[in-house]
Amino acid sequence: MSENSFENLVNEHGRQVLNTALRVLGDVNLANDVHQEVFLAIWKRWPSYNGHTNWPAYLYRVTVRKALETARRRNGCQDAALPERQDTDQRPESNLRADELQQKLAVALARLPQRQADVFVLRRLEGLETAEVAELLGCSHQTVRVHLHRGLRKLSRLLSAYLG
Amino acid sequence: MHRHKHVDKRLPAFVLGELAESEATQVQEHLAQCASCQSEARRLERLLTCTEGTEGVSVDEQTYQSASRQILLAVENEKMEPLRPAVKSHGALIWRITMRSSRAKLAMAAAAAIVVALLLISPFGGGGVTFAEVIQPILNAQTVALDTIVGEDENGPVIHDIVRGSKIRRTVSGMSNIMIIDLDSAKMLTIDPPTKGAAYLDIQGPIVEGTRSYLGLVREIITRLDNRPDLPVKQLGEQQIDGRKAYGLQVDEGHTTLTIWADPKTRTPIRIEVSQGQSFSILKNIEFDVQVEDDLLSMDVPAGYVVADGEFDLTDSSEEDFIETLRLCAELMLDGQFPDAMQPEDTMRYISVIGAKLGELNVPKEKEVEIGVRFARGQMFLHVLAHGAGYTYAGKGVKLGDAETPIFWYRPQGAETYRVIYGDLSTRDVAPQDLPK
Repeated sequence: MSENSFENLVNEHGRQVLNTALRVLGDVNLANDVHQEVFLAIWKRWPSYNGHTNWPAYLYRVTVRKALETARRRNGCQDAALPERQDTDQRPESNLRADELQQKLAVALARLPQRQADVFVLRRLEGLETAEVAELLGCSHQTVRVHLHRGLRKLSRLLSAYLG
Repeated sequence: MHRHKHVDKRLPAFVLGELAESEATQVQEHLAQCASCQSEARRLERLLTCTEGTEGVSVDEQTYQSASRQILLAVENEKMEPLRPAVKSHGALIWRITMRSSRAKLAMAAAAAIVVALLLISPFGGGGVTFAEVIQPILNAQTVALDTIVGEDENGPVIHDIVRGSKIRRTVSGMSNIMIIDLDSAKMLTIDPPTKGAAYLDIQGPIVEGTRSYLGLVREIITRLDNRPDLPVKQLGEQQIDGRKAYGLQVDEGHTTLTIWADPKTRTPIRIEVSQGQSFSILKNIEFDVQVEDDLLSMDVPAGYVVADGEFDLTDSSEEDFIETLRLCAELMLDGQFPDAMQPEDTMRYISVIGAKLGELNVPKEKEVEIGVRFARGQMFLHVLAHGAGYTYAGKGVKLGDAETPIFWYRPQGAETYRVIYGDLSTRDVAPQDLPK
């Protein structure tokens, strides 16, 4: 595959990569870093891709993975970033800014099994329908639903200190 | 209690509005009496609320344009050459392995890692099938644990891989070292628990592709076969495989044959066999979407390990290196007799025997590393021949020192005569008509 086709790939899908990373991380600069990491990794292995790569699906998966890795790095120790729920009358979430909550959400997402995180991001942050997610991830509608339910339950536990 | 558990599980579906009316009513009735479920439902609703509208968030045009420019400039101006394709570039193998630190504690473990990596460079390059449901888990699982056996001997060394995205944790039966491979950054960390040795290896060029694990190769074959609806899928019927009932499907694309044995109920593959030319491999004990702790795939050296240092280069592996490999096999494994076979997959078995022997002989660690590297270079030479011009090995039953008996021959690229290695490890150029029959 030629350099031109790499340029086409960047032009055609760059926006998708940036937006997905932004929706996960809530930070344009970090989204930019993820965009770079994703495409440079692809460029390094460019000759090994054949003409049949399903780029939208592949890029979603890689972008989500890189964005979650970035969230982990940004927060250093994951456990410190997400305190256990405390029995208190305080509702910390009410004092938490939207961007802070998003940051906590990204860290919690990074602790989900990959498939649950993929499904949550695609369904809830990208706003895709179950059928679209099933097609992108190559699984059944029911599998998507099960992963979303499990992911939600786990996120609720991980973020209980912030969700009240 | 039963009701509480049941409702608790249904809460995500309830807050997402996915439940049928009657079931939603039951959940509501329970919520009215259960404080714990009420709190959980509230948390789930807040979680959903805080993600609402996120799909409308997007970068502005300027950010997008600038990000695209940065990538294209990085590629164009910084002369970032993409890596060459895997198996097509054996003529120009570039593989430098860099090990950091000054203590050579890793000994044969690094060499073993090299051999395993080499072994997995495969010439798989054709064939494609749509096995519909059966192939879905293979293509889409996020994590897979599996055993690979290279060669047809099911009792041969087993490569156990845990694959998650671009990372692989690899162990090999009979070898003490553990390899953690990150294909994205083209790095391998190998750690050796008995010696507490560790090394980082830069794996470049064909090695990156070769190290992917057979799962990656099988995925590639299947993806290609997806585009060949003209190839018939042969139904092999039901059979007991590893103690389980399995249904077999096979696609033959001439050079490549792919056979998948799957559980007839779940459609999940139990065993996959890939045959290409003379190469054969078996993937078994396959588990999809297994839970993998991050620690297992960490590229950080565990506490208490000494990171080895040094550098070796396999770019110019030569016949001389291979002759040393033959000598090592004969001297250290079989009391002066050459081994029965010399296929790339056999060498994995040999290196563990040689490693153990060197340990018994109390060979200094530095020397062990040198021998390991030599062995790896010899394997590189053999590997290039195996996937290129080919070779003949006839060392079975021959003793080291036998100057009359040819044990190995091959035709170097562009040469009219063959190079023949004899039992005393001397070499001669021989015309094709004078080769042993």
